[in-house]
This record gives sequence, structure tokens and C-alpha cells, in this order.
Amino acid sequence: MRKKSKGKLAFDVINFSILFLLSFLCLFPLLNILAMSFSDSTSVAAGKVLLFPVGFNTYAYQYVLAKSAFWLSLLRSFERLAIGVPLNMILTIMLAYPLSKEAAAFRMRTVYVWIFFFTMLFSGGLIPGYLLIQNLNMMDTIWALVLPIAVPVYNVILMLNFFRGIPHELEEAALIDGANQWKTCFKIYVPCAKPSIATLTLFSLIAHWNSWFDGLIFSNFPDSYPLASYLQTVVVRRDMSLLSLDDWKTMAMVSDRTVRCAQIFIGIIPIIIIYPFVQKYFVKGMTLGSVKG
Amino acid sequence: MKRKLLAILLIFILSVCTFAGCGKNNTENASGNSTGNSTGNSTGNEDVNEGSTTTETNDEQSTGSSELIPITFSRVQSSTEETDIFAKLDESYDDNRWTKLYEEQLGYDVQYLWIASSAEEGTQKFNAAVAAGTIPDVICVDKVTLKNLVEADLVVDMAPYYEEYASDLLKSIISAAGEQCIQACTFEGVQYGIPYVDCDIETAQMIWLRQDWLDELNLAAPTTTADLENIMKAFNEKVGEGAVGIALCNDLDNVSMGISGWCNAYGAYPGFWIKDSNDKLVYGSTTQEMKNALAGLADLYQKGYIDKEFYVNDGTKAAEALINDKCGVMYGWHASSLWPLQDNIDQNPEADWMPYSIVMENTGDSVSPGVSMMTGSWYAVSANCTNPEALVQMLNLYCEKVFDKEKNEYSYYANPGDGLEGVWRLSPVTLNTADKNQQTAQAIAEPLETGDPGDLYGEQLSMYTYSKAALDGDTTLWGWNRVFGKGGSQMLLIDYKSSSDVTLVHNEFYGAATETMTSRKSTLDTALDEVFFKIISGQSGIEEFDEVVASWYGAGGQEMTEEVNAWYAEQ
Repeated sequence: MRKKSKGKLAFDVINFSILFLLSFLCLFPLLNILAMSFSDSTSVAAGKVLLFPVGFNTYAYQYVLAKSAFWLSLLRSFERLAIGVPLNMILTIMLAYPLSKEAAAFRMRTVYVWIFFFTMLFSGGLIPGYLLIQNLNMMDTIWALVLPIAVPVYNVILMLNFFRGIPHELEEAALIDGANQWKTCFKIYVPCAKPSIATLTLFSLIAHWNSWFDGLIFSNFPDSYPLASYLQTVVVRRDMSLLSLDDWKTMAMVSDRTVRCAQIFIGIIPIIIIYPFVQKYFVKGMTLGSVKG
Repeated sequence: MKRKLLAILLIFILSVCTFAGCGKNNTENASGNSTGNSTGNSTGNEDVNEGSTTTETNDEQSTGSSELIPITFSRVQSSTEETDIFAKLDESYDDNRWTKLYEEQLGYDVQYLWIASSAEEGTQKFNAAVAAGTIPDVICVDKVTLKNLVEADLVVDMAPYYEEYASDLLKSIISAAGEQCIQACTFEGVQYGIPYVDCDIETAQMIWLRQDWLDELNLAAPTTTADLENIMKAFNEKVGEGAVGIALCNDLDNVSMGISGWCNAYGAYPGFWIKDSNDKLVYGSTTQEMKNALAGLADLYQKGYIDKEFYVNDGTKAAEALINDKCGVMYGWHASSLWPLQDNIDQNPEADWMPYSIVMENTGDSVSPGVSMMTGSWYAVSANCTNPEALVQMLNLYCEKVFDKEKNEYSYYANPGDGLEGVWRLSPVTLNTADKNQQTAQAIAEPLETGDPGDLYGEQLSMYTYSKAALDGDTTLWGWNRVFGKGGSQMLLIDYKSSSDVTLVHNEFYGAATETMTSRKSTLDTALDEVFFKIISGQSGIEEFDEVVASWYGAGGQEMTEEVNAWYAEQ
């Protein structure tokens, strides 16, 4: 191996230590939560837990896993992903493909794009949204969580630009060979856009997994909460000092910080598992074209 | 590689689909009640939407009696306790012993429009429902919301129904809490609500001291601020490195680790509206006494008794000094032994705390803790409800079952015991007695001495059991004994009430927030607090106080004071 120059070595040392520090800063809160979830509650209250559990135990996990409400909301979240993500992707592709055509081929194109773009900037607002869902009788159904965000306009615009990057000649060749627009879209464009589709799938996956506000607003009963909404209600810290004696009687057994930490951690596991598989497309998918040479 | 990825994605999607499939089945099986809820509920919704009050929608469940009148409610779930109950009983929110009782005796069918999982979410839901024009028939709201509802003409005048239907028991419970609760829900002479009465005296501040340290150092109970300072001094010397004299957090009006107890010593009542020498109401945070109290705190800070960074510590952070045996003095309220002090005992079972009456600036001053109205919610009935008397009738029945001295049915309807408690929560309307906790403390005092629970029942029995266990050495229940046991906080509150040395100072304004308050009070309070922080931590001189008070008056305080005095004149 060639010897590195002093300057390069110094650069490496500094570079690595800064990067290490940065990644540690990102990881620390996560590790802290993990450590708290495995510690006993007294040590957590005394502020003794930093990176490693103090008084190791798995009580918090046992407690969470024994709770039916947690499992119900987890299943609800999976249901939401199973319906919501494919719906997102299909609509995104079917919308982005025609809109990526030249104005010569699709005359009203710009108008449509602006109409969609408009919804990115302005929305009806909370109350009209609530009224709409209520009057459509969709309260407490999975559709209230899936349909309002079925067309992620931001994703559509990304997809649209990606399609535009695909050489025009591919489409012409396909049309000359007798493919219709459907075929061109799904047999030529979609395979070419796989990296970008993977990226957008991840976007929509995360958006569905993390969004909690719609779950709270569009459910009348806690049984229909998705996981994120459920976690939000247990995780947001109660003001302990304001609890009345009656609340304390209720709280006597219940969720302290360790349990909340355990729930947060279980909640992020699925995303952590999926991330490494798709993450590499994050960079590549956005920048690389499909056809080489 | 691409194929591999595709395979993984496929597997994932497949497994998700299977899971989702299970999910559906599970939800339907495991919580048949909940899906029952939502379907029952959606029909309820339509009902309201159409504005019709016909009853044909609810005969699925009702047993033959199609004459039932549906009454809609909403509720905030107190998750653990209720799921515990449902795990043990085959009952649900819509179908339980209370709803059956109301159905059989009064002919009302209880329906929930929604169930929120937290109070905050409940408020959001409620606001959305107001906008949608579909509020439940019976609601329980705070006074600001009630005022808005009254102004929007959405609730009915409750007084005639209350007069006509309320039982003597119900009336006695509500009148025991004082006139203020009723006046607070009375707008232009019309009573729009029934108060969910709560205990005012429990808002009084007290001092919690490390009893084991007091004993060890042979110190007496403090009566003046100077005594208290001596105790801090002695404690700090004992603790040494890292000692904190008095725990203070960055929320100055917090009931634990706030400053109001300290201010009371100087005759200052921050956040209260109190009478000045001219019998006009003034804002307690802006008085001359407040200035003295702040000077006192600044002095403590300068001498090193207050954490140098208290203004960035929230309650949890500030409590760490208490929990880690670094601090032995805090201002708190009656439940402070449950939080944060119980955590200290869990950490160090040798530790012990006792509540003491607040101190005064000079020897011989009459002890005068501030007391404000604790009652925070009122029942009201929607203007669309065809049977507004239902609320009163249901409350009657509730009181009869839960508070009746004969208590024949107490154990069935309120606390069956054997690990099954709080069944009373299943009723869509509940009520408290204002002095419940003081009564409990008095009732269990003698049994605790003798060790014989006698004929205690229900909640009093539980509190006896907790306190007794704590006395017998179970340190995890220590906090309960310090609330209800001998020398505990409830006994101190009883003392506050009955002792001739104590003059309670009441917050004289208990109406709904006035117009200027709604728009400016929180901003103005923040501005005051910022200066208070600076004064205490020595970043500003005490003379800054006069300036901020002047600007407080200029920026809306004057209007507020006028509005409050106008309100006061009407009472």
C-alpha cells in the first residue's frame, strides 16, 4: 500500500472524526431511547441513563407487547401501508406519464400540471377536511387514511421529471413497433424508472407510516388508530404535576417513560428494517438516467 | 441484484397483506364491541345530521323496548383503567351496567359520537364537531368553551331542569362546592351548565421538606422565610457538592416547584385577581408584594440556593435534584408526594418527606395560602336535544348509586373490589364530591392507628390499604400515605380550612376569560415571566419590575383590569 502523505492523513483524521461525531449526534437520541426502554424506571426518573441501560430489564417490552391496543394499531398501520402505498404508486405513475409528454402531444398539459401544483400550496384546511370525511361516512375507515393522500403531488412531479429524462427515442421506437401508450408506459418507461420508483415507494411508505394527525382526526374511536397516532397519544408527555389524585389512582400502574421508550422503539423497527434495502436508491435514483450510451 | 430486490419487495408486500388480513379479522373478533361502537356510531351521526330524533336506528341492540330515547355523548378514554375493566368484565362503553341502568330506569339509550384517547384530542374533536354542527346531546366542557357555545346559542338554559328534576342529594353535593361553580357557568343571569365540582382547597400550596434530614440536623418546622432559608443552608452544607437549596422549574406557576407558594409568604398571589385596598381587583403578578417576593427569590439565587440554570429546567429535569438526594426543599401541592417525591423514595428508601404549612415573611403574620377555583368543567346540554332533563336525571341516578349512604349498590356500580375498581367511570356522566379526599383522610385516620379497616369500603378502603401497606414498610406506596396518612397533605389542607391562624386568599375572578384575556393574556403573562426569570437570576435589577408592570398595563393589562372589575361589580 502506498504511504499517505501527511496532509492526506491529517485530512482523513479530521474528516473521519467530524463524520463520526455527526453520525453519533444523529444516533445518540435513538440509543438513549433504546437504553431507557431497557432500564428500570427509577433510574430513568433520576436521569442516570445515557447510552447504556441501568438496571437492565425487559418489563417495558413485556408490558407493551401484552397490550392489545398496541397490536391493533400496528395491524392498522400495516393495512394502511398495504393499501396506501400501492395506490400511491399506481396513481403517481399513471399521472406522471401523460404529464411528462410534450405540450405538442398533450395540449392541456401545462394547465393540468398547474392545477396539481396548486394543491401543493393550498389545501382546504382542517375543518373542511373533517366535514368532507364525515359526510362521506368514511370516519373510522381505512379509506379516510388512504384516499385523502392518494395522489402525492410532490412525488408526481419528481416522477414526471424522471420520465422526461428518459430519451424520447425509446418512446418513438416503441410506438413504431406497434405498442400503444399503455404498453409504452408500463413496458418501457416503468422498467426504466425502477430506481426512481423504489425511491418514491420509500417516500410514500414513510409518509404513511409516520403520519399521525389524520389518524387522530378521522377516527372517532381509539380502536381505529394507526400506530403513529396511537404512539402520539401515549408518547406526548403528560404534565405530571397537574394530575389530580384521581388521575394518580389511574396512573398507579401505568406507562412511565420506559414504557413510552419501548413503544417508540418497536414503532420504528419496521422502517429500520426496510431502509437499508431501498436507501441506496435515494441518491442514485434521483440523479442517474436509465439509458446509457 | 434487481431480481433479488424485487423478491424482497414482493415478500414484504405479501406478508403485509397477510398481516393486514389477520388485522381485519382480529379487530372484528377481539373487539366486537368496538366495531359495534363504530357502526352504532355512524348511524348516530346520520341521526344528528338529519336533525331527526326518531329512534328506529337503535333497535338492533335494545331488547324489545323500541321506545328508548337516544342521548348522545362523547368521552375521553382513560385508557388503562377502562381496558382493565373490559378485560375482566364482559362490558363495553355502549353496553355496560350503567347504560343498562339508564335504559331500564329512565328509558335513555346511551350512544357515543366519539371516544377520544386524550383530553387534548378530545378538545380537537369537539372543535371539529362544533364546526360541523354535530355536538353530542350532553357535553362536558371548560368555561371558555361553554361561553363560546352560549354565544353561538348551541346550549340550553339548564336552570329550570335543574330546579325541577335534581334530587336533594345532587343539589347538596353541588352546593357544597360553593356558589362560584354555578356562577361561573351563568351568563347574563342564565345558568347554562351543571358543574363537575372539584376541590378548591387542593390548589393551596405547601412546603415539602426532607424529614429525615430535618431530624438528623435537629431542625424545627419553619414558620418564616428566614427559617426556611436556614433549613436550605443546613441542607446544603449536609449535601455538599451539587446541592440545590430549593427546587424550582421553568414554569413559574406550576403547582410543584413553582414560585406561588413562596410569593404567598409576602402576600403576593401571582396569576390571581385579588382585592386591593380600594376593593378593586388587581392582577396579583403586578403588585408591590410580588416585587418583594421576587427580590426574596433573587436573594436566594444570589446566595446559591437556586439552581443556576433553573430557567431552562422543566419539571422533569428540576425534579432530578430531588430524586438524587441533592435537594430537600420544594414548594408543592397535595399530590407532590406521588410525583416527584415518590421517585426519590424509590431511589433511596431511607428518604422521607413531610408536608408543612407555607411560611410567612415575618413571625406572627397569619398564614395565607392562595386558593383558586378547582372546578374546571361543566356539563351542558345541546340545544338540539329533545330531552334536556336527561342529564339531570342521569346525574340523580349516578349520585344515588355512588354516594348513597346506604351504599347497597355501591360495590356493583362503583368499585366492586378484588382488583376491579373504577367501574363508575363507565357511566357517561359522573360526579365528584368536592371534599372527597379530605373525608377519606379523616375516615381512615383511626383505622390506620388501630389497624382495623372496620366498615370502610370502596375508595376509602383502597386508600386505607395503600397507606397501611406504606406504614408497614412498602416504600412503593409511600406517596399515598403522605397524602392520606397521619401528618399527610390532606390533613394539612383540613388544617388550612379549619385553623384560625390561616386566612385563605381566594382568586376573586372565576368567570370565563374576558375578551382581552382571550386575545392577550398569554402573551402578557409570558412577558411578565421573562422579566421574572431575569430578576430572579440577577440578570436584571429589581427595578425592572416596575417597568414591566407599566408596560403590562399599557399593552392590555388596563383593559383586562377594567373588564374584570366590571365582571366583579355584577356578582
